[in-house]
Amino acid sequence: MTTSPGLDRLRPVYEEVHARLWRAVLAWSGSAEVADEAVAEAFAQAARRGDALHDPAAWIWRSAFRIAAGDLARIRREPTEPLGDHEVAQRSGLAIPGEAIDLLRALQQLGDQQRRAVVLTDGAGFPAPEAAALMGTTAATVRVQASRARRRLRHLLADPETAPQTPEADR
Amino acid sequence: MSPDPFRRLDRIDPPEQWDEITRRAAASGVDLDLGAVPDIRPRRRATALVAAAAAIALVAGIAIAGVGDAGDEEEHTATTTAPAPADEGTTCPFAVESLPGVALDESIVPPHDLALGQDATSREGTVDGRSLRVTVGVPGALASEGHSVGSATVDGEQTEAWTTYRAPLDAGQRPEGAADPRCTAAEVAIDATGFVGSGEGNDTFDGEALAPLQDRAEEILAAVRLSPPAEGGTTTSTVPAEQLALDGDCPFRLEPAVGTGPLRPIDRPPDANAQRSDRPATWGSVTVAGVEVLVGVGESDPQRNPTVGDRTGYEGGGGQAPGTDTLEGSGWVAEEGPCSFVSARAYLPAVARPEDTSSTVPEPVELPSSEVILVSQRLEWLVDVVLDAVVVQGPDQDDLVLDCVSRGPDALPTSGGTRCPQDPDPATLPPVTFPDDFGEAEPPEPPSPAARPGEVYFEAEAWDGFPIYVTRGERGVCVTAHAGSESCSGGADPKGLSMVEVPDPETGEPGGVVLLGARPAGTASTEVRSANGPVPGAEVTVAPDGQWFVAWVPIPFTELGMQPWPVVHRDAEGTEIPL
Repeated sequence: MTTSPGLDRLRPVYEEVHARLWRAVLAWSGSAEVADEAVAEAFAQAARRGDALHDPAAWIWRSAFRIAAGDLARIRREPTEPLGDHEVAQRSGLAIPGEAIDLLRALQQLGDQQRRAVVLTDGAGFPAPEAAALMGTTAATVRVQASRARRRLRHLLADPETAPQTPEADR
Repeated sequence: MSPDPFRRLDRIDPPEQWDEITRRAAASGVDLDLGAVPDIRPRRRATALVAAAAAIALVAGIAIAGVGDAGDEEEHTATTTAPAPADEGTTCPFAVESLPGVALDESIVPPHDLALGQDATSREGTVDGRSLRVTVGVPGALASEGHSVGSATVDGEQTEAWTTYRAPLDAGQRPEGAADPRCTAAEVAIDATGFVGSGEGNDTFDGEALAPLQDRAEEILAAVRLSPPAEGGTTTSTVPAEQLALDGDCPFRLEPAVGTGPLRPIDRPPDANAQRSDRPATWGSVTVAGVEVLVGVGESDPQRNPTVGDRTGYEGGGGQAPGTDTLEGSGWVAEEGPCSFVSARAYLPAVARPEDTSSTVPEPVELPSSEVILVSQRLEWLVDVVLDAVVVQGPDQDDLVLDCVSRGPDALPTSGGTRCPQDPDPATLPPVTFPDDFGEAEPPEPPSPAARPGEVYFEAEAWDGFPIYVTRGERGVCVTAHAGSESCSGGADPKGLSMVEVPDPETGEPGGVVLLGARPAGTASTEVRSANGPVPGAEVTVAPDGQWFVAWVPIPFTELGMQPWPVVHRDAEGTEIPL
C-alpha cells in the first residue's frame, strides 16, 4: 500500500488524540458511524496535507467535527428513527454500556453549540479558550454554553421525564 | 448525576482506525471541503511556562517538605529502622495487629493503590475465603463514613466488586501515648463478588444478601488494633498535630496577599468540590473589589494529570448545589499532596451563596446569556487576581505563591513574596460593579424586545447565545441585538439591507454583524457571501412566513470583504435571483 508522506508524522498524533477525539465525536453526534467516518477522514486529510499543517492535532479536531456536522446534516435529511436504546451499539458492533447510552441520548437533546461546548470541555478536557478555538467562538461563549449544558444534562440524567425542554436560558 | 458523566464514555474502546486512515490517505480521492479550517497554532503557553513551572515546583517542594522536616527535628522520639510506610510525614506509621479470623499479608500496599489516598497505610489479607484490605489513615480522607458498595466492569464483564465500611478509630484501638492524628480512621473493604451486580453503582446489589458481609466488615474494623512497627520505628507523628491534617484538610494556612484584606476562615461551601471531586480542602473567604471570593487549598486529583504551575481554566457552573451559579479558577502548586491544588471561586451576584443545602436554598435564577457572559468576564478577572495573590503559607514560613506564570519566569518573587511584582495591588483595584437590575426576572434592554416599538416578528442568535430580535411596527421591520444597536428597514425592497454591529463579548472589539433584509419572491434559500465565497460561520434565520431573513456573521465588518450585495438568494432550483 502506498503511504502518504504525512503518515509518519501523524502516527504520534494518532496515538495521543485518536481515542479522545473519537469519543468526543461520538458524544457530540450520538453515532458511532459518524465518529468512525469523521475521525478517519480527518486524519486521512491531515496526512495528505503533510508538513503544511503547523498543528495537525488542532486541525484534526476541527476537521473531524466539521466532517461530522456534514454527515449529521446528511443523515437528518434522510428519514431516521430517534436514537434507540441500543442503536449506537448495534450499528457499530461496539459494546457500549447502558449508562453511556443514556448519556449519549441526553446529549442529543441539547442544542448543537451546547453539546459541542460540553463535549469539548468536560468530555475531551479542553480548557475553555482551547475549546473556543476549536469551535471558532469565544471562551466566554464556551463557558456559558457548557454551563447551560451541564445544568440540562443534570436534569436529563436524573429524570428525563421532567427535564426542561430547552428553556430560554439554555439556548 | 455523577460528578462527571463523561467518564462513562471512557469504558468504550474506540475502533482501531490506523489501517483505514492509511488506506484513505493513500487513495486519490477528492478532499472534502475543509479548506477553511484554520490551522491554528497551539495556544498553550510555551517555554516560559515550563521554566516558571519548574521554579514553582521547586518552591512548592521546599515548603511542603518543610512540614516533615520541622517535625523530624523537634518530635522524633525514635529512629525509623523498620520497614515503614512510604510517606513518613503524613502516613500512619503503625502496624495493624493480627485480627481474629483474618489472615493479613505482610506486605504493605503501595500508597497509590489505596482507597484513602496518600495519607493512609494498608494491608491486604483474606477473611472467610474472601480477600480484604484494611486501611488506616486520617479521618478527612474518609470520603463518607459508613458502608458503600462498588464494582468495576470492563466490556460489560465485572472484574471486581467490594463492600467497604469506614469509621473513625477510637482511642482504645491505638497504642497508648500515640494519639497520632494520622491513624484515627480505618476502612475495611471485602471482596463482594457474587453479591454485587454487573453494573456499577449502588443500585445493583441485593441489600439483604450483602448484609452479612457488611456486618463482617464492621466486626473487623471494630477489632482493628494498632501497634508500633517491629524493631522500633516512628511512634510519634513527625508532624505537629495542630498542623497535620487533623480532619484531612491541608495543614497549611491560607494567607491573603498584601492588600486583599483579612482572609476569613469558612467551612467548606456546600457546593464546593476541590477540583470536581470530593477531596479535602481548607477554605477561606476574602473580599476583593467589593466581591467575595472563596479560596480553597486542597489535594489535587492525580487523574487530572496535574502540571505544576498550570491552571485548569475557568469553569462556570450551575453549581453542585441548587441556587448557585459559580465561576471557579484553579491551579496546581504541586503534583500531589494535601496542598497541591488551589482554587478561587466567585458567585454570580444574582444568586446568594447558599449557607446550607436545605430546602431554603433559593431556586436557580435563569439569567440571560448576554448578562452571564459579561459578568463572568468581570468575575474571571477578579478570580484571576485572587489566584495570583494567594499565598499558601507553611509552618516554616515558606510561602507558596500560586503562580506568576502568565507574566513569565522573571516575575516570580525571589523569596517569600506575596504577589508577582508587576501585579496590581489588590487593595487598589477598582470596585467591580454590576448592573443594578442584574439577575432580575426581566432582562435589561437590550436585548429585551418589550420596550421596542412593534411586535416581535422572529428571533435569532449571535455569539451562540445573544438574542437577536426582529420586530415589526411603525418604523418598519427592525433588528436589534446586543449592545443596544438597532436598525430598521422601512420597506421590503430586497436590495436594502439593515445592519447592526455586535461587539465581541470578551474584548468589546468589533466582532460581527447582523444583517436584516427582505427576500425576493420565489426565494428558496439565502446565504451570505463575501468576496471569497460563502462566509464561514454565517447563520441565516428566515422568518416563519419566509419574507424576511436575518443573518448573523461572526466576522467584523471591516474584515468581511463585502461585495455590493453580500447576500444571495436562490430559487428552488438553485438559480440565483437577480436583485
